Amino acid sequence: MRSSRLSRIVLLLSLLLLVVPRSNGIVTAGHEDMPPHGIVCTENPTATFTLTTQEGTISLPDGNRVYMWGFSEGGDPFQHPGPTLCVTEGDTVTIVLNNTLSHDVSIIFPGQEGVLADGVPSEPVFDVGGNLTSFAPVAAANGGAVTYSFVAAKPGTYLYESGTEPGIQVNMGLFGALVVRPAAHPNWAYNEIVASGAVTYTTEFAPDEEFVLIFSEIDPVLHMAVEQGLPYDMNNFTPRYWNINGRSFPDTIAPNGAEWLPEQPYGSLIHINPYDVDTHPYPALIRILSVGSESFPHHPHGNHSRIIARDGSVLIDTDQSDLSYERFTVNLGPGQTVDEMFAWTDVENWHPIDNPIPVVIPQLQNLTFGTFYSGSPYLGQTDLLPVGHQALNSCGEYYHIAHNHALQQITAWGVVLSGHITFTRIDPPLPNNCQ
Amino acid sequence: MEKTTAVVGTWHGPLGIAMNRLALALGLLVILSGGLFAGWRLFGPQPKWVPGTMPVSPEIEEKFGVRFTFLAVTADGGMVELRYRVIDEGKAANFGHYSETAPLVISEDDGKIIDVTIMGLHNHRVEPARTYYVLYRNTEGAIKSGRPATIAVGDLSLKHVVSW
Amino acid sequence: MSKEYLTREISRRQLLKLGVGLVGVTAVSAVVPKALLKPYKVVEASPDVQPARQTAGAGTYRHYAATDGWVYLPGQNLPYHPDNLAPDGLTTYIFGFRNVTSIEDDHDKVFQQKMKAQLTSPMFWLDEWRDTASQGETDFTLRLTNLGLQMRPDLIDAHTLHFHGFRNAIPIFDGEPHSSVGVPISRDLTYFYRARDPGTYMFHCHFEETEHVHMGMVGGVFVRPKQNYLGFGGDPTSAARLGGNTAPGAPMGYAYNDGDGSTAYDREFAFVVSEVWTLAHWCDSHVQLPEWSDYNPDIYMMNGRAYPDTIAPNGGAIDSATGDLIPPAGRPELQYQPISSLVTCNSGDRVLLRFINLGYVEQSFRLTGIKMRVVGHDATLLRGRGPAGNDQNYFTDTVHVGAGQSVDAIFVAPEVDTMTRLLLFSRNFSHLSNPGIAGHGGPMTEVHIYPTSQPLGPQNEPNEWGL
Repeated sequence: MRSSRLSRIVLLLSLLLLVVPRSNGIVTAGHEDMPPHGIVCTENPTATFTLTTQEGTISLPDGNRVYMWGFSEGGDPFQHPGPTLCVTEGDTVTIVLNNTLSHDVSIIFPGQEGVLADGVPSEPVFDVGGNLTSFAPVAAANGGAVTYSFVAAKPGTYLYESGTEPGIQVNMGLFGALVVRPAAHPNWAYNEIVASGAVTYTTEFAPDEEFVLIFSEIDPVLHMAVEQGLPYDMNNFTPRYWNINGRSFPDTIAPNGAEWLPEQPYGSLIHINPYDVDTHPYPALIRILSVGSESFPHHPHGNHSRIIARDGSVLIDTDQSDLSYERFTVNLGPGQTVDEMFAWTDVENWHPIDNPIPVVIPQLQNLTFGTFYSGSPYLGQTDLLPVGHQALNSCGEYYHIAHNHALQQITAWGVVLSGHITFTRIDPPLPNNCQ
Repeated sequence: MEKTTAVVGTWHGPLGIAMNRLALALGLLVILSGGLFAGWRLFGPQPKWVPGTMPVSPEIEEKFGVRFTFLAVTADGGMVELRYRVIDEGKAANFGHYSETAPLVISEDDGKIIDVTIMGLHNHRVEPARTYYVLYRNTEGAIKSGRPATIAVGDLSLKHVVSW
Repeated sequence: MSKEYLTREISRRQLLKLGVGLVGVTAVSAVVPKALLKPYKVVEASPDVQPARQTAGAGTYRHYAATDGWVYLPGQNLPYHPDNLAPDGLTTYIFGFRNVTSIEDDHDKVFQQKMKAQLTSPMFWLDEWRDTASQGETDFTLRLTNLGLQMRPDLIDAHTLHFHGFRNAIPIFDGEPHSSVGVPISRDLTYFYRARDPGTYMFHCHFEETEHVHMGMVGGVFVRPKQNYLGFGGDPTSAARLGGNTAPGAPMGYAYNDGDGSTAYDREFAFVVSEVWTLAHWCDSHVQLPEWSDYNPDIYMMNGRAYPDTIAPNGGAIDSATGDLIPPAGRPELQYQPISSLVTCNSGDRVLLRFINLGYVEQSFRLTGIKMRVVGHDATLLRGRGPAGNDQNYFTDTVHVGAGQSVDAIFVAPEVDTMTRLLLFSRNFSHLSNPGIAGHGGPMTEVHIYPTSQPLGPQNEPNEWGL
């Protein structure tokens, strides 16, 4: 039935008037207290967390939504991935798992020793027939609970993830990051100091340049089966989406707490300032974790990364000598974590007048639209451009892509240039006019 | 002179069909009681722009086979992301590949244009009902979250899009 | 932390956008500035000046062309392989690069190389930056011309050259089109590199990268250390032959500025490892697109060839009359796959193997019979930081190299009385066959060790046999 134009206008006017007054300040999905980029810590003084399993959906850039499970803090609504739990070395960490799902759920804490479940050692669970049923004691389906505790003995970057039906449940989203900071040096990744002759190196990083990237994958058929209560054969596992922090590019570069991604609060834009011995002497710290089923070779453009730790263990020899190394591609195995330090500097000090780049860059107007953009090649500089085209970014910043080099995984089920991609944003040297 | 895009003609949602007559009566009542407020809304100093507002344009859908679905400021303000859903893959095949089919975004506050793409629009084979994206440099921070913008493509435009 | 979620937000947003849209039509259009759709900034464009060819010495400039083409790969996987559209003797549609430096002055000759791409791309190498005033030119420029795709005139794809791993890169020379520039058809762009960090890198097109890299726009690039020229320990007599040292016994080169000669080598061979998913290549020639998440390659290669073609001779010479590639001797079907992977050496030679993985799956390369010493990963000497940087190199018979990674390994050829063969192959045995046919195939090659009584000639370029 088609309505008349008049009645539609009246309808729309009435809806407008009903809705607009309520819209004042309400169309924000929370998260407004998050920093726009970088790590978003969930923490409290007693290192006690309540993780509640929730069901929900996430959005993907191809327009699809996928049914998920997730851990949320306390009574928070569904989020993906689980909250990044930040604790301090030596803390006794207590995690109460409340399970609202119709499946048993547990949590394992790879890299932690002496984990207790309800006060007794957390051990694999077997049924009366001797069959393994869970990697750890469970919070029973439909309202069960279990309390895990452990001493966070060693600083580092760790996963927490489901230990029950993990092939299914981790893919469904039951995972998150655990960050343990050194007690004496919150701006260091680790306590250790590398000695090389008279020179020493710490793991100190720029405090506003700390990032967490969790690499994951999604087989939407598995999710559909779980949602509909159907069986799923893991032998058919075929990922179609590849996410960083639960988002697929270009959502990855949206801010933390982006209003249009209420269920996916964590961005992965690596927003840094260039290295400068005086104004910005410390590198970024990027904590990389994988919950995937195969190696993800992560390749940040622009510079090598220095790998300072793997799986929460700092790369230093017993005689304090250096075991860290630089890579242009970090091949991250399933379930691994890597801590890397990243810095960038304009080593040639290019400048449009004092030190111009020694080749001529063709301009846009002679060329096919959109494929031969040449703004200013200089960091923080503007440039002349053809009519109607503008060169300056918001502050003349640089962007470098950072992506999985298994290039079939930078897609999203038919959409290319998606998946495991994020960007490194390099602002002009401090002080700058970036907002 | 760009065409003005009608936005009221495309409301085909289930709510519109089911609630027409009730809404007609209710709406008249609401309009009467809310008339004073409406006057303030329409003629007051500034409309309330709601982030995420995305009108639709039958003309753009008819000509280019796409429906814009999303506009957001991203990358800590350095980029703008525009998404569109493919309605007609035949018409959308060359969308964005030539200057006459390439969308650009204009700030309605001061007329600043962003049209330098960072990513997107590469794939000639697009599939119906899929959503694709374009990333622009947000030149001079031209597009601001919560402020109105116009998406222009060829000689058509879609006004009063409010960026996330 | 406050987290206010509005689970019914979507429906409200639908209403809101209608509401605001209506306001726009009825009243607020008056708010839209008059300047709408007029150019915001009017400036004069810079003239588009073609970069002049660099006049510096040899080895500091290359001119590459990007286009499509056809190559030969063994086996059969119908209907995708051989491709029914392939010219006689060839099987597989590719995208790739060509080195057109020697013919660049003849514009027509360059553009006649359209549809004549090679797999894998011509390698290039450059010297680490030195003080140019006293030690000669070291800046390197690479001009890239996009010839277009003959088979796919519907595609207006740009191309780029991404120098993968270049440290402290600036976007304009990074070849990642989205944050800098791509090169449209019939246009060119000159990339500038001042290389400050020696090692084994790789390059590839970064436009539509999932497709273009898989289609074959991949190659190796090395930065040669200044230790080749300067020697180590303050001793100029320890310079390498590549640095002009003609003394007997001088090594050909060093892989890194090791400071102690530990990365010296006498011969060097590079292996660009990649894959062909014949379905995807067939799709490109038939105006189709594959679903990349179904990625399932069926031919694995070293330098664009599958065994036993890997040990066929090198080609790559240019016919100056036509600009065309001259095929390897006796192998016309390998005209566009000119790079041999056969390793030749004499007993006692230190042989540098540069492994470059530009496929999408990780590989483990095993050398039978003798150990390799891994000295570098990702263009980085395996050594700790600082003045007392500790040695981190290691011996192995199996080199693991992930997608987008490189590894440098050196072996010392053992004493032999007669020419002796070793095998070097991907330890993933499921890759070591060619589709649909019996026998060994895939990413495997041979190492031929000659006794010192049969001295090989020196290498002028990597992968030369010296026979």
